[in-house]
Amino acid sequence: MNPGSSPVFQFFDADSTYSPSDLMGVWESDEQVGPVSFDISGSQPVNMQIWRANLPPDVNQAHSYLKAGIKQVELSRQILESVPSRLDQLREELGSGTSFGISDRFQPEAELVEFLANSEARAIGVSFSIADQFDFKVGETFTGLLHRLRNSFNKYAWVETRLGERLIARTAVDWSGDFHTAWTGDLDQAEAGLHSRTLRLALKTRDVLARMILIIARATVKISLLLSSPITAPLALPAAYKYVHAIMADQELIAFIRNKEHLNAK
Amino acid sequence: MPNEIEQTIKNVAEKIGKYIEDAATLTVQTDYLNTEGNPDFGQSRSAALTVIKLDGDCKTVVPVRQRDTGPAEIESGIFGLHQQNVSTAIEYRARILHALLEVIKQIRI
Repeated sequence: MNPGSSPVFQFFDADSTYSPSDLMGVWESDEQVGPVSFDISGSQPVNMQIWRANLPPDVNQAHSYLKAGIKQVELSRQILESVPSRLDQLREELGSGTSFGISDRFQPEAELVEFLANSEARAIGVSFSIADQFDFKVGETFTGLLHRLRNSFNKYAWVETRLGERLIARTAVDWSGDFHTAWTGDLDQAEAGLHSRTLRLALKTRDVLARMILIIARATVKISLLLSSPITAPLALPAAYKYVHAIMADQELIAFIRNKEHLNAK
Repeated sequence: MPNEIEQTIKNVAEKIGKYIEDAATLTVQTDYLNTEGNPDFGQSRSAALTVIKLDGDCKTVVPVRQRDTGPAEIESGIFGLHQQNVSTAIEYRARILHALLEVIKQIRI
C-alpha cells in the first residue's frame, strides 16, 4: 500500500500494546514513530498517541488511501454494531435448550459455543490450578482493555499528515476534544483536504476502538451468564474478546456488507 | 490484580467527572506556518480561533486581509479550513460524550 518504507498509516502509543484488529486493520502500530521532539506550541508533548499519515506526493492517490481507510473503519463500526444482536440470538438459542454441541452456526458463534462447552467440561473436573492460571490471563486481558479505553479518553491525539517528504499539517486534540491545528501556509484546497481526512480517520478509529471495548465489556457480562460455574465465570472476558474479534475478522460478513453497499450505491 | 482493576475503574470515573467540567467549553485554534526556509511547527502563528460554550455562547476570531480601500476581507482559505476543524471537533465531542455515557452505564451494571 505504501510507496515508501513506512506504513501509510502509523500509530504510536508509548505505554500500551495494540493488535492490528484494535486499529481496524488500517493503522500499523509502530514503536519507531515517535515521540516527536516538539509540538505546536514549542513544548514537548507528553502522554500522547500519534496518528501519522505518510501519504504519497500524488494528491489524488493520497486521497484514495484516506478514503479507503475511512471506509474500512466505517465497515468495522458496522460489523461491531452487529455483535450485541448476534450474541443475544445465540443466548436465546442456548437458553431454549439447544445443546452446546450443535455446530451449524457461523464460525465466531461455533467457536464461542465450543469454548463454553470446553469450559463447562473443565469445571466438572474442578481444577483450581487451571482456574488460577486462567484468572491470571483474564486479569491481563482486562487491564489491557481498560488501559486502552483510558488512553482513548485520556491522551492527546497527535494527528500528522505528511505529503511525500513534507509535513503539511499537525493537529493536537486533547482528551476533551479541543483542537489546535497548525497548517503550512502554501497548501491548495485539495492538499488541505488531506489533513482534514487524516483527522477524521484518526478520530473515527479512536471512537470505534472505544466502542469495541465497551461492546466487549457488555458481551462479557452476557457470556458470563451462560457459564454455570464460578470457576469458569472469569473466562467470559477472553471468550468475549475472542468472539468480538472473530466477528470483526469474519470475511463472509465483510463481503456481505460490501456487497450490500455496492447494490445500494447503484 | 483486583486492586489494579479497581484503580483503573476509579481513574476512568474520575476522568468522566473531569471531562464533564472541561466540556463546558470547546476550543478550536488554527495556526499557519510560513514555509519559506525550514518550516518549524513550533513557530506557527495563530490565524483563527473559535470558543464554544455549553450555554450556547460562541466566540470566533476570524482571519482577515486588509485592503487599501473598503473593509477588510475574510481570508477565506484558512477560515474554510478552520470551519472544517470546528465541525470535526463538534462531532468528535458529541461522540466522546456518547461513549462516556456508555461507560457510566457499564460501571452501573
